[in-house]
Amino acid sequence: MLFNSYTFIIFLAFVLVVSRLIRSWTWRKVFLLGVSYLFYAAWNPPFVALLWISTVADWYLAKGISMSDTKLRKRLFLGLSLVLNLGMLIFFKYGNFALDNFTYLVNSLGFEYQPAAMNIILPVGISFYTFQTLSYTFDVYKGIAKPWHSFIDYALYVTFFPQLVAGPIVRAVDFLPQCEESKLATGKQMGWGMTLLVVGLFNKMVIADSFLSPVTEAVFDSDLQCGMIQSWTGALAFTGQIFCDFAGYSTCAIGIAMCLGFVLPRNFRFPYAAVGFSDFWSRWHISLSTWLKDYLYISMGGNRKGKHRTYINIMMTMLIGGLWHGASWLFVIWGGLHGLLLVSERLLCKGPWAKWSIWKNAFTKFALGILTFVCVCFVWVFFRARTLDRAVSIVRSMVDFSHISNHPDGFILKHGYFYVLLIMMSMLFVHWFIGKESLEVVASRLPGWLRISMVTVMIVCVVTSFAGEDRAFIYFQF
Amino acid sequence: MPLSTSSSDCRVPDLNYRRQWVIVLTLVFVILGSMELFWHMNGFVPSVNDTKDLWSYWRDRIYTENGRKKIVLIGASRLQLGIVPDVLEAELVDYDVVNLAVDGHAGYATFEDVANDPKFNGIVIYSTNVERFARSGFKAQKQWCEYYSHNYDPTLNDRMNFLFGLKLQGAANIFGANSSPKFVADRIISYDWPDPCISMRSDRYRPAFYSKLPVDKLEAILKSRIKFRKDSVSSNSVILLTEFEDVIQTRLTPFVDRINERGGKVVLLNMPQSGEYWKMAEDKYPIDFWNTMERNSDALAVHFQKYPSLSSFNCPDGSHLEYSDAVVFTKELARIMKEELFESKIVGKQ
Repeated sequence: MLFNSYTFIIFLAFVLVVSRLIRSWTWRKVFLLGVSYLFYAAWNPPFVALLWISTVADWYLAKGISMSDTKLRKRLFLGLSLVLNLGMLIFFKYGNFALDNFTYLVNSLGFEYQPAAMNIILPVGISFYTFQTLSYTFDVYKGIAKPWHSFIDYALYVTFFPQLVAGPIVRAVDFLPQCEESKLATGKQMGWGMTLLVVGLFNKMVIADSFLSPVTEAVFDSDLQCGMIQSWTGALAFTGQIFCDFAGYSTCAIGIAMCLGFVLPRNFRFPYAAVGFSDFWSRWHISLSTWLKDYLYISMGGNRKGKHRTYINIMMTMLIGGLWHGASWLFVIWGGLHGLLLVSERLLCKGPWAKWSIWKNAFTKFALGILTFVCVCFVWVFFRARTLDRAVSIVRSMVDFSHISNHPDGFILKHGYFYVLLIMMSMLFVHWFIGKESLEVVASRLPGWLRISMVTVMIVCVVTSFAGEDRAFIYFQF
Repeated sequence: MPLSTSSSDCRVPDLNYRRQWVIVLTLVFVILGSMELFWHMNGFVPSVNDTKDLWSYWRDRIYTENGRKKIVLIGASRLQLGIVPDVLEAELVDYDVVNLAVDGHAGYATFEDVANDPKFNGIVIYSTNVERFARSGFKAQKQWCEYYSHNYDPTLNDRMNFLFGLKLQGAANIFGANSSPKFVADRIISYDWPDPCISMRSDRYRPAFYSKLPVDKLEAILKSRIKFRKDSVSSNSVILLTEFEDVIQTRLTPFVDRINERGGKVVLLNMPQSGEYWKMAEDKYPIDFWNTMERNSDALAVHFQKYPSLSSFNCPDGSHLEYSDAVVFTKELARIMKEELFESKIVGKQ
């Protein structure tokens, strides 16, 4: 069920009303668990079984870890959890990809081999909920958390519908304590949660889908050679689209959870105002980047095993992070490029010039921020392009000053240049000039009439945008 | 365990939400109501958005259900505007009508797709003309067919969502494509407001009310369409009659036969055109071409010029029927089908 669908609106209204009518906290949690399964089953009912397997197995494996008295037994239970969760993830997400690559390898060695197609369907959200349950067993293994006493609470943590299919990837230590005490959303939580839902839907349905997506598709899905202007327009359009799409989803998820009395962690913090790439990753998809840092980068030794090993660990983390996004070499390239940028930044920061006072100058910071943004735009091309050839062609055009504009008429849809320019300028302005504060602080500082006008316009735009083509959130495919 | 996210209180701005939401909802209601009134006062009627999902929804319904066979309409805008499905159903009571015509896209790919579908055994009304076979453009509707075969697999939730959306779009202008922010922004920038003359129903029929347009605007539309037609006529080379016959035998005959073999029937329909617009087509491809097409296919061929009852329609923009004419045309076509298709006046041509 998509947040931007009529059925979800009816579903949400039903959940909000009924959850307030149920007096018992335990029964309210059971109700939320039930509707979360219903929410997931709306895509493909049999895949609910995968959720159950993951939930039940990790519940018992975490208990096993906790009760083990030797390190070896603890590792055995953790290993089982890893094999189960990553096994499911690898089979469903990378099965077809692995087979295609194996076939290619065998064929390129001169052997004729053509296996039957596996046609594996990817269960929606599997990357998110497997990482979420894994974080629970990891935390119990590390002693950060103890096995939770209530299975219902734990099952709700894995399945809670606002964050189930596209995050934020919530940690058990953040969610489970919220299940301890009976709670109903206060009027303020409900009011702010609904505001967040509207802001998220506006980002997704109006900015990402209506204005930016057609331009992105015109550039990336075409075979026509672009000029520099068209390539930059397409790259900028996707840079804005992916943010509005994914941050829009996270904002909706946080808002919906808040309407039910739960607090989910922030997933974005004005990422296009980042100065440097480590700063970018502390602002973009925060729940994934901290997950990768805590459970992958640090587990591999982080920066504790010397300079070279640190660089290898960064590259490995980013390559795996890239592959997490999808079964395609383009995602690996995207992750690898981000890894290279992070390593380069780290190397540059070690030089004697790192101590120059010029870096503290506001103008220099702004210039570095713009440089970061430009590099991020380049790298997004590999994330969005369907083939490596297309990605390389677009990147080449972006730096080819000899072909400023060489596209046939009508390549970029009507007014596309204007919309992309306007939206991206506004987005950068917002990220740079009000991004130092949280959305909550900004909202409380706005004059009442302005806040009311903005929410009103957003709702009108969202209501009138429902007629467009159905577009799923980009991160659903991951 | 510590709660690392932050407490709920510090994540909620301290505002008067009750007041905010009362004012917001009132304003939203007033704005949407005003928009609806604006569209209504300017002659617009609710119109559904013609998406590939809507097309696929109907493509899924071309098969005989509960003993009721289907009449499938295939073609482009002339057919989509010119045949009224409910009128045709009222005339041919044993059949349900499915409209698969797509505005601006010749229907050959869909015709091929339906002919190759082994489960289809109904009637196809295929709106075509000599030009469609003389030029390339056979793939114009392929993307719809591919979407249906590769991407269309709706869940129960998808179906509910789709039908609910369709109901809303059919009920009010504000839920239709004309009200979307992008559409409104495009129109404001280009200072080009849409015309209220054509809408779209959930059965994919598009009633046209050219009478709602000012005379000078209608004349301008006709003029620009004639100019476009002139340009395209002069830029396309003429195909020889012998070559055309080869094209028909390869592209049309086998597919008509395939439908006939399964117990279905095909009606080749040349929709009415008028005035200078029609004259240009007639000059380029005289009636011999159509006769060749008729001779080479085991289908009922209905050319508007060959039936006196169909030849006198005036198309306000040169090639599309006004709604009131479409009703008359549909009834007349149904009569011809009853006489020539069902009462077996048509026999297999050798």
